[in-house]
Amino acid sequence: MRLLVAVDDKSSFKEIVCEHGTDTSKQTGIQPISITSYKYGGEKSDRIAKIISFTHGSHKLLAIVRNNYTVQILKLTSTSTVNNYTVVKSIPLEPGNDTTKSGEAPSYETKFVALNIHHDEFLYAATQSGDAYFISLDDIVEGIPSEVDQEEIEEHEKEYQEKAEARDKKFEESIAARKKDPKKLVEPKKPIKITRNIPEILFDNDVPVIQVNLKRTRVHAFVDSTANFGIFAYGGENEDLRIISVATELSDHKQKQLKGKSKSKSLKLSQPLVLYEAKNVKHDRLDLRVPVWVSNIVFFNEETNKLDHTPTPDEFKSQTVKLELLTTTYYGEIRKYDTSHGRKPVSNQIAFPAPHNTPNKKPKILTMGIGKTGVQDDAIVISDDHNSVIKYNIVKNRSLGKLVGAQGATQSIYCTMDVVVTGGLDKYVRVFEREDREQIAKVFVKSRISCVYLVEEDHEENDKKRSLEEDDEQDHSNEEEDDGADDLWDQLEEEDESQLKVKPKKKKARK
Amino acid sequence: MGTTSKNFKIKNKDVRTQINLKHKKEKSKLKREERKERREKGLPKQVPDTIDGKREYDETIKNPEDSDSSVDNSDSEDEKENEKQDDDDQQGDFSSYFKDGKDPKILITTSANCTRHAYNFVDCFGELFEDIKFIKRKRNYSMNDMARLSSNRGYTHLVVVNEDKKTINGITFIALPEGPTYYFSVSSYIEGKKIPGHGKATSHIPELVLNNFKTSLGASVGNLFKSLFPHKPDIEGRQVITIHNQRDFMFFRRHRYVFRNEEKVGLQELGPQFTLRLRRVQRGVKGETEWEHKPSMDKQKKKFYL
Repeated sequence: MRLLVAVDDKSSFKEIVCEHGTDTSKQTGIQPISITSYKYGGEKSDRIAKIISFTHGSHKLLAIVRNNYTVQILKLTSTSTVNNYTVVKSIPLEPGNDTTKSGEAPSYETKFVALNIHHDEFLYAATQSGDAYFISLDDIVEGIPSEVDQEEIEEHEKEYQEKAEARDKKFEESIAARKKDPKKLVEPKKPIKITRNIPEILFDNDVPVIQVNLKRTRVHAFVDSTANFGIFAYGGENEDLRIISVATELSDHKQKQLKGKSKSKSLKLSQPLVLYEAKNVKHDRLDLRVPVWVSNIVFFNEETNKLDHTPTPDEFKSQTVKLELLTTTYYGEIRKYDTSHGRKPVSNQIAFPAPHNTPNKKPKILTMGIGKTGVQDDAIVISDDHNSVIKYNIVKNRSLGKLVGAQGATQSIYCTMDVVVTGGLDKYVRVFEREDREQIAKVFVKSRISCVYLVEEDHEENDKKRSLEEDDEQDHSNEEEDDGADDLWDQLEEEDESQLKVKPKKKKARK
Repeated sequence: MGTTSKNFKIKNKDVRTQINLKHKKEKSKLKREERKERREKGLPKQVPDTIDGKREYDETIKNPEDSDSSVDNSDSEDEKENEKQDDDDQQGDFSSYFKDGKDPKILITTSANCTRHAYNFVDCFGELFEDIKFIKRKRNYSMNDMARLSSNRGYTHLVVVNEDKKTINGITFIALPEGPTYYFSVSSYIEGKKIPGHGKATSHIPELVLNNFKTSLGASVGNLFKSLFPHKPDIEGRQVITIHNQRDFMFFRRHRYVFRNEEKVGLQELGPQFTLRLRRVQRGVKGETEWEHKPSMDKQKKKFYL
């Protein structure tokens, strides 16, 4: 598995390569193969808010958005062992009028709430202060040659090989030491640690950005519809769910690109077209308003709700258009909306059971993990502000079980078809199997994690087979040893004690 | 009965105890001789098995051997640089103290509606720190309000003492302005006056000894304690505050020392004494949980978190 991890305390990101079964908290456990940290600057304001990787044309790219309002596009060139990232474009975003008082929001809070690809055509990002940015992928790719830095990658490969050799040597040494002194543990192969600055080669930096002001101050979620072009939804603190359309602007931009050879310019929009505004739920039993704080949104049942035209607000008003959305709130609720079924949520459920010591305090839902393709098997993975992460079935409205392990709040969840990657304040990246929620890998990264992203997956089946085979082998070897063990013990009774004590340890180390 | 067989018991208690004592003495004598023999042979001292010694492996503990044993120079340099950065990371929460060199300014208050017990504790606490101010708690201010107001007034720490049923049961430390928040439970509080042979403390800035804060969580707690005291202690005061961590219990003691001769050091306890236990670390001012103690953690006898 190849994981990208944005750490909180530094402005760097780390690339972790590890295999199935990695566990750094076991002394003799499998260690990750390599951990490479890519440094950039060093100030807190440069911190990475979101990371995504994508391919466009022949380019393998990585997009990073930093808290200092820059989107960086990194080009990935890779050999079989080494990956090399080069900053090819650095796109400054214009901060909108930040209406929150300076110093009110703590510096560790990420200013960006979204960074994603919309319909393989646009990269979009959104800030908490209510600005959305759209950048065409064609504009991004323009001017980037297919090969960037051959020499550099050769150098890196050399470095990697050297370090790998040193590591193997150390491992052999430890085995040799173990042979001399059986009390010593065989240390597992340590990960190859590489630190490097991200090289910067900028190509034609002037990229047009479409900026949309949402006229909202505390946005906490901004997502796109994967089936319908130009349709987005957002919500936040005291901002209930809204569906907007920027389809006309985006397609205009595309048209211009196709027609005119002259470069299209950056565009600033005052307010997008609002299609649908959700209404708050009924007052509670004391007739008080229920507070609104949307933390995550996702469109679901997208395949069935695919529209053949761009909808208008009137269609939404007459409830002829059907889009289904799911939101989670900071007050612990999961709400489902159906645009053909009024403006209030269709269902409103509480996800996490209240803790025993504070029964009237509902745990906040912080992050929600949905796959690249949206909700899969009707299940989402959500985390609260304590240490629980659960898999939740949105059709049956019930929890499917915990993903056990995290000690601190989980800040970021990334899901694929097979695995769930989580990272948070406890400084561990964990990888779980999606189906049976078992932990496959666990890596300590030394700083708090703000964002995780899985670039490459292991071939799940191969791994499973391998682990099964290994298990079988282990079982066999254990049995054999056990059979022989009784005789051994009889023999050894006359010998001195020190050897006796060592015997069972040896077995453990072999595992 | 240690020395007699199971079926036989001396019925006279006096005789029985005398015999048992005799056996005990013999046993300890034997052991002493064994030890003496080992010493004469030049064998190393035997290390007793303790729970601390059997501590479970924890990768967040920095192993000093690691960087020393590495053969390649280039490798170790890299690692050292990395470690330096890691230190910076851990001190990042208290950057105003460690990087900017600001001295602490502490605001202390109690839970709402508390009694003289809490106020006495606060008095004791106030004597430990240099720049500390007590303000009586008012009901209408929440922790968040207090943190905001005191950080506006230039305070670097907010300390809230919790009293329940006339005993002190918790302390919250909030590093201002951006946290983190640490909540400790407090037990076995003994004020200085009740310690036999106690001395009288002076107003000098004490030196600080932190023992056993090894893991990354432990280091962050250690940094909290460091940041509570000014950078330069008054050495002429000869006062030292020790916070000793053992099996996740933090023992707080204050002494005055004197160097009697080149080998012997005299200690006089000044008090107060209390024991802290980390219960929760939250990001920001009572924000998301970074670490939380759970009762199930006590089941693992050999796993320690600090």
